[in-house]
Amino acid sequence: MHLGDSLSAFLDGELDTGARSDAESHLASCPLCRSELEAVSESSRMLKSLPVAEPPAHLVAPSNVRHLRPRRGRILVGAAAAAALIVGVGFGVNADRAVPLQLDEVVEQHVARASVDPGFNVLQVQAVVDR
Amino acid sequence: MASSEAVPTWEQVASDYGRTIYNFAYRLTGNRDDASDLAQEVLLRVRRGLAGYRPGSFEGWLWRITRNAFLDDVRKKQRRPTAELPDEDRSTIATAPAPEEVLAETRLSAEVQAALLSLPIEFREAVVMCDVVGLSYQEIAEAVEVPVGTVRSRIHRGRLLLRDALEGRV
Repeated sequence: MHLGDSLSAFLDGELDTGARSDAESHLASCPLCRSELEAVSESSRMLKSLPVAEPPAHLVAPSNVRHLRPRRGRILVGAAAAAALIVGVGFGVNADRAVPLQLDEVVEQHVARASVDPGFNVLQVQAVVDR
Repeated sequence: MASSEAVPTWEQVASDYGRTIYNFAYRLTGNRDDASDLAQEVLLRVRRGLAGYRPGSFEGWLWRITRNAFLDDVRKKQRRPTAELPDEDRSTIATAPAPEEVLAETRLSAEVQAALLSLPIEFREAVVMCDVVGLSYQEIAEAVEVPVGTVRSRIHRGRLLLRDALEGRV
């Protein structure tokens, strides 16, 4: 009696200890089952090695928003921090920041925009990030 | 997700599973536009369904929604012919010359995708859920609403069919 679909379950670690041990014993003496195990292993390996397709941005937009949250926090304190930066006081930025956009760039852009556009404010920045 | 955990928000689901759902959809449909539409439909159904979800097997619930959305889509479109070139073929044609090994890899991926599309749906979804998404047999059984023994049989048969299809292509 050959192993049949137990071979895939064996490959996937889906057999309990007893069944696994029985399968190993059978495989040791059955070239037919060994060959079938090789075939399903190869199919499985090929599927697992398929490249991960990158989804369009709108599908993972919530994750983008989440990703932006630390930056939003800095934008919100940016107006108040701008003065501190201007007088050369250091500002505590998280060392684990993965986003290349720097706090001082954000503040600089914000200050530049606010200086020429009286209608521009922090809340607008937040609305853009939240969108 | 453990049953003791709170019901996730839709944003959490999209953030944590959006990419995986899209990849599942892409491997089942073989093209990016359909995958995108399908993933979007799944996320909409999740958003509608979350209010009624009670903590339990979240993976089973989510993938049941995903799989049902796919089947509804297939029924609606009366299943597109599989002769259409998978996206990877198009990108191979469209892109500038790449190193030979990259081309060979791309070609192999396209062959695997084409072979996958030639499988009957129940086998295709079983192998994709197992080998692409990485679900356990129990999770697949909950998603597809069949016994675990049936899942085991479909995965094994699906892999053998894939091997046969690839032998004719590679």
